Amino acid sequence: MQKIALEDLPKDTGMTVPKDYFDQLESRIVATTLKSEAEKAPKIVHLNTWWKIAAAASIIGIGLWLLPEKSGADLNTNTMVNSEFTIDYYIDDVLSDMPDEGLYNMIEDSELDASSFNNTINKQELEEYLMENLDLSTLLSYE
Amino acid sequence: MIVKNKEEETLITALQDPYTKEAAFRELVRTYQERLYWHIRKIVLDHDDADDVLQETFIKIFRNITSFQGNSSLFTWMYRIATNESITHINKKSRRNKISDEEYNELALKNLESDVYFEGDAIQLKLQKAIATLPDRQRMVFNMRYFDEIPYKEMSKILEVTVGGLKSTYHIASQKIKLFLEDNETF
Repeated sequence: MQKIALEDLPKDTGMTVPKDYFDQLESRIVATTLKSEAEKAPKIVHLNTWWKIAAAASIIGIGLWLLPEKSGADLNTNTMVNSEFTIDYYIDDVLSDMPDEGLYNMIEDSELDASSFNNTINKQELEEYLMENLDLSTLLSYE
Repeated sequence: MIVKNKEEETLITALQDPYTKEAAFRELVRTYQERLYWHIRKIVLDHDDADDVLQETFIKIFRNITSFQGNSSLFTWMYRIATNESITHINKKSRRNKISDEEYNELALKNLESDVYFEGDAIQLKLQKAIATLPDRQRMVFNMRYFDEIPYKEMSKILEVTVGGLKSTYHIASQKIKLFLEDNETF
């Protein structure tokens, strides 16, 4: 068996390339690379149907929560500003237009006995009495 | 031919500047295409495969050049990418054909014999067969040292192995090749 020295072995692999391969290689590589970069699309995350429904429901829910309450709904007096201005406004705007019967009904709710008043009671005096003796929630219930 | 450090610095700066990147990339390809091709070709053996891997390598270089820190030379960095892409290519093809990497290498070597792009003589073919029997790391070290004559220090950065380890690997690989050729002598 003949001993082989590494130095005796060829330094050439014997592999070859097609004719003019390296002459055309640069332009082809650059073109393909730039095209690859241009085609790089942003990643799109597809949501399944349930996620879409959940997202839509959340948006609708937030929208409804942010909507102002409708007029005609029961007023929550706790949300109202309890100020003299509010009460005065209510007296001037609502009670002044209220017929006498409505005012008499409001007195019945109070601790006073309506029969203690004669029929010729002064409306202004009555309004003053109501302002002093009834709270805002009672006043509002007669709207 | 390895580009000198100052020229390499200029090239890197141009590659990392969006306005000059394309022109600098052309220069990079022109300078390194052959050397990278032959490194890849010696791993994958087939010309068409080497062509594909080379393209992938340059795409990766183009995409990642902005993050190149300069911890090694540009060539060392590109060589490493080319090495990894070659191994990835072999792994992918093996999995696609449902065979092991070793079986794939044997198949590639068998095809080399009848490959139109192999014009080597009997001893050159026998040498390739001997190299193909080596494990991946030994094969790579042998090719880089024997054919490419890459200094151990640079090889250490490419393969991330110590110089001492590389010398030892090359010595073992050389001994195996000599034994293979002696057992299958064609002289």
